Amino acid sequence: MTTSNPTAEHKPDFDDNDDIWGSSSSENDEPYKQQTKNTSNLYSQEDYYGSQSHPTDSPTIQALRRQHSKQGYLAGLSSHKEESLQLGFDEGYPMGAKLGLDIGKILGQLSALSSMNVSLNSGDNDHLKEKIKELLEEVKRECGIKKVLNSKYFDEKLNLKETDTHPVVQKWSKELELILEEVKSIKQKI
Amino acid sequence: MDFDDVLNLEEQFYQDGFAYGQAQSALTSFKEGKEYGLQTAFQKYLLVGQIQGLFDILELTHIELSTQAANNIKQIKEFLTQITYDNDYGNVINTEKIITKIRNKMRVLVNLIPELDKKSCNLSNMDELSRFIGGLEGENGNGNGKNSGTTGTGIGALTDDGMW
Repeated sequence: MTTSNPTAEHKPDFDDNDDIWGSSSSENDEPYKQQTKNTSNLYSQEDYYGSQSHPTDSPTIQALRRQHSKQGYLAGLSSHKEESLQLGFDEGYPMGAKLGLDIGKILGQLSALSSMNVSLNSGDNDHLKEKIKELLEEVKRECGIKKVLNSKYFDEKLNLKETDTHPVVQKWSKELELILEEVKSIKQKI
Repeated sequence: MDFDDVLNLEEQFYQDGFAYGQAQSALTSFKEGKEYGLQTAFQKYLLVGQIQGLFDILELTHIELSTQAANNIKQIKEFLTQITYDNDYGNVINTEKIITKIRNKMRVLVNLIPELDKKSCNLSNMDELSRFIGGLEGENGNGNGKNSGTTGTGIGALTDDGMW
């Protein structure tokens, strides 16, 4: 059971009437050929397993292969879909939670600082208040879900590339750290 | 070739196709599910992060708190430690309940800290910011009730702008 049911969102993008196995025969069968490079074309690629027959197969056998392999293929596609969606969802969820938490913290700290008039508005601290507000606006622009979950930060398996901390989080955490240091020093003076 | 041989062949072809279809579906569906899990959790935990961020600043700035405010913060911090980050059904239900409790405490808390500008630092604004960052309302989000809910974006809902 899950927070939501991802399977409800999608239907396979294929048509039962399409001859997804193609009709050509060639030199050999390649069962379970991996086609991971472009999974979005899963249902439209021509080079399916089953599209190729042994050259020695009679036309009757070839037709039999096409017919039953296709039926099996379609059944296989739908049989595993729900379980795989769920597995993927479960794996992505903690990653998304951590990212949401990290970005939320940055926003929360900046929002709180920009809301604290009394603590920071004494003397020449107006420039800091201004800086905080500008940074908050910048973070709002740069840390939206579309930018944080952009594919350029993730590998083919949707794990973060090279590092455990998201580059966007790293960048803005550093910027925020400078502000916090300034706030600390002001608080020590007051 | 007799009748049994033909049946065996049909079964063999069917099983071959089935296994191949299953393998292909597993790859694509897993990725789709992971995208959706990332999105959903990202949107959900933004608020939790914001509250933690607020507490970080309260500690950093050493604001003097009333007893009531201090107790409130203590309770919320305790709740925050009980939040889990996985998709186990029981944990998800429990976390939802905890977040509801935190939200109720937060409504009171912001009124107990005079140093915070209540117009800008309140639960409503935090929610609005979460919706904005989470892509659940328009770019010029104005909190006018357009929120479509924490799981409102389906798989691939944000793909037009390059995500995934």
